[in-house]
Amino acid sequence: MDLNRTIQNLLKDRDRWGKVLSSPLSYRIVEGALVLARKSFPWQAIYQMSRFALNQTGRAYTGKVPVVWSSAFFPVEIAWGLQLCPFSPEVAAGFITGMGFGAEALSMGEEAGYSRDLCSFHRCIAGAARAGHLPRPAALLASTHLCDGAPLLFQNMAELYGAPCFILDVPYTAGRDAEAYVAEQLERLWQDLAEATGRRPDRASLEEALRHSNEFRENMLRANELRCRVPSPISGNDMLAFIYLFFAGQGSREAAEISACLAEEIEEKIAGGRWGGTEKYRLLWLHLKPYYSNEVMSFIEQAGGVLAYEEFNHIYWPPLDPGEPFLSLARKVLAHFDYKPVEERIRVIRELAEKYRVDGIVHFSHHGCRQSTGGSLILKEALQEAGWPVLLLDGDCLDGRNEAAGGMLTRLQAFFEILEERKEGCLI
Amino acid sequence: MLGWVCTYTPEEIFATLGLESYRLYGDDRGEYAKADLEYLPVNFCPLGRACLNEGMGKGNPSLTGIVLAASCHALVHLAGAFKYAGERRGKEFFVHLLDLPRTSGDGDAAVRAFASSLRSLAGRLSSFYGVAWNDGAFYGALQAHQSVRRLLRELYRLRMGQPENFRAAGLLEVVRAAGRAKKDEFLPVLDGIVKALKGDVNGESRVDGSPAAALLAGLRRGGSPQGPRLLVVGSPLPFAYLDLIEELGGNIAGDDLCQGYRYCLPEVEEGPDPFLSLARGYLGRVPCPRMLAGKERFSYLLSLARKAGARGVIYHALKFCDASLYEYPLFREYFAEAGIPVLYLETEYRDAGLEQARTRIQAYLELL
Ligand code: SF4
Ligand code: SF4
Repeated sequence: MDLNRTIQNLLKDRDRWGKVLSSPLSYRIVEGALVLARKSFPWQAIYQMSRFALNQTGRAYTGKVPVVWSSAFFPVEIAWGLQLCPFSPEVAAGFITGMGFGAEALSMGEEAGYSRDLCSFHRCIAGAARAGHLPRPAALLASTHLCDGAPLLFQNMAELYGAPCFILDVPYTAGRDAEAYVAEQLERLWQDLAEATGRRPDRASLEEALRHSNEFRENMLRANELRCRVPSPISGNDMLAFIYLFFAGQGSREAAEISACLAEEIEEKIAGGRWGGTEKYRLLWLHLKPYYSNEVMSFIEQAGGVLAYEEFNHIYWPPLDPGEPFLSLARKVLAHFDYKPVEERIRVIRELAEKYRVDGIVHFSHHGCRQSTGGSLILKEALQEAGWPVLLLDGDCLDGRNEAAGGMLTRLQAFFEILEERKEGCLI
Repeated sequence: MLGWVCTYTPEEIFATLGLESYRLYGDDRGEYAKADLEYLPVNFCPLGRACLNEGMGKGNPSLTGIVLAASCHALVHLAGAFKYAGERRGKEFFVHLLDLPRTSGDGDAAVRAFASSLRSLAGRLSSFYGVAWNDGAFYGALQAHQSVRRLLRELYRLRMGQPENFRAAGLLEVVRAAGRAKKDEFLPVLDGIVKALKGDVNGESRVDGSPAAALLAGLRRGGSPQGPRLLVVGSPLPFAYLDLIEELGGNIAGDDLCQGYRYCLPEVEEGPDPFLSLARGYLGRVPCPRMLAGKERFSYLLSLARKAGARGVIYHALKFCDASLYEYPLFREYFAEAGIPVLYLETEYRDAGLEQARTRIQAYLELL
């Protein structure tokens, strides 16, 4: 099933993409097509997730339920706990780009004054929002950790829509004081958000969201354990599809169910001995991937490379305590290994590289991401000293306009040659 | 010698502990090793890169440590780069990231959080350098810092009265000197400059001492009062751009730059808890773009522009500076609605691009 093609058929008239994108009817049609093509999905978990994402997005456009925009790393359990409809604009930007409309949205963002040096996810969001193509938020939620741009952009978007923006200020240094500071903000934010969206702040419902979030966490841990097998039972490219659940789903019943389905499917696949294939190079993949074209991912696959594990799918936080929702969400937020001195990221990446027995590490250096790219030279040096070949692959997740994709492929090819030489060296 | 960069770093703490401090500006004196190329990627804040070169190169100053506010990922990664570059030197190098809340949250909680982060900075400095905190020393240091800030604001007031007689880059030089000097030693210098300038106004100019004379000479300019008055906002910018604006007939009457007026703004009141006082004073200043204050900040800037009689605003963004780059689209709209056109300049914290900017600045000034 080619979901992209189905949608692109809907959007034959390119000028109408915004209208089609923002019509709830489109989502119902595509969902229908999806149901018919269910069997052709390599993983039912991906099928289920696509339906969930389409359904949620369609709902967001109906205007019947309060929509809250939530930035990539905001603890979205808060929104699920108030039975709101979370919308992840970063994922939407990836989706718009995947549909082939990234360039239009990016240009609109640039016309609105957003520099090309900014993260293309945000330029794309700004452009699509100004053109009126994104669901109107009742409120916006952004946290300050990991991404400097998100709270700044969300603040601008709040102005555009005339909606309140709730910012979660996360200190850089974790510890008791920081936990108390974040927990206190979360509790107030939960109440203010309830008021802004006309919901009753019901603790039982929040606790349930935390339980679902815990189930999601456990299922993903299970799936991640199974992924230690060599050869890999699931491709990392498929695994990167679950980003929607990470950004917008945590705290929902659906994310818990879909992740359970994923873990079961991988288990079944392993038990049935139905997996294998040649794996020449096992890679650990850092940051995201290009969404405007499949070229890079296909090239890796054709060269016999496999994404054995991805930084984004790593479960880094302890289980939540539904009895202490705010404190445990604060701990979760503060636990992120990328929001610490770079040594912490190095430590985690080293552990993962060992655990997943990778041959090399690829850092996709997304042009506008200060957080990830800023520390990449130090990261590379430290990981190389520890014995792993590292490739810093400069590119952009959404903006393919200036991309010398050929350049990326050449660099990957050269990297594979290094990996090959190392393997031969080991054999001798 | 401790290096620091962000103006949310209370120097009073260093002075109380008897530690010398030095504000890094990333001055390029041509003698620094290109430390940045090893540690920071090319798409990274050029100010941060320059500061690493300044702090780690073979030129001045000889830093033994650095205190960076965790205000953006540029500074966070800069801290990492300093740590690695410092370790290479072989000696233990002090690196501290200062947690800095966003003021848009609950004011009180943010003040308490910042106070606690300042307390832990003082604690770490004490144990690393083997020096002790003393409340008495703090109140002395505070007074000297407050006096310097007040005199700097006085300078800014004088400039606002007759910007055609002031060189904007010269004023930023004075602020820079303040951020690098021991405040009690700098006070008489600054006092001399202010007095001399007031003397100018009254026709009795006189200033003693060479540092003051040099700074004073850099401050003076004979522009025409007919040129449009301007406000300069945004990320730190190369001085050559300010000189160019003035050369083309603009009169810079005010700024909101952290290398300029923002440094002079904190008003710290004495209280029983030094850290709470500092936190309140520093966070209480008009917020910078990173603080997510949105319209609150814009309305302050508009009133500053009106007070300065500015007919135009120059908005400067450093390449890769998220705080400025995200603020700009809304800023532009806000000022357009207020009837004040904005000229956008982007630089890499170097004089490069000056000639292309010349035509744009010229056209803009003609429009005003
Ligand atoms: S890629 Fe980086 S800058 Fe862009 S949204 Fe994600 S964290 Fe933020
Ligand atoms: S100029 Fe911008 S990116 Fe650079 S340190 Fe300052 S706020 Fe951060």
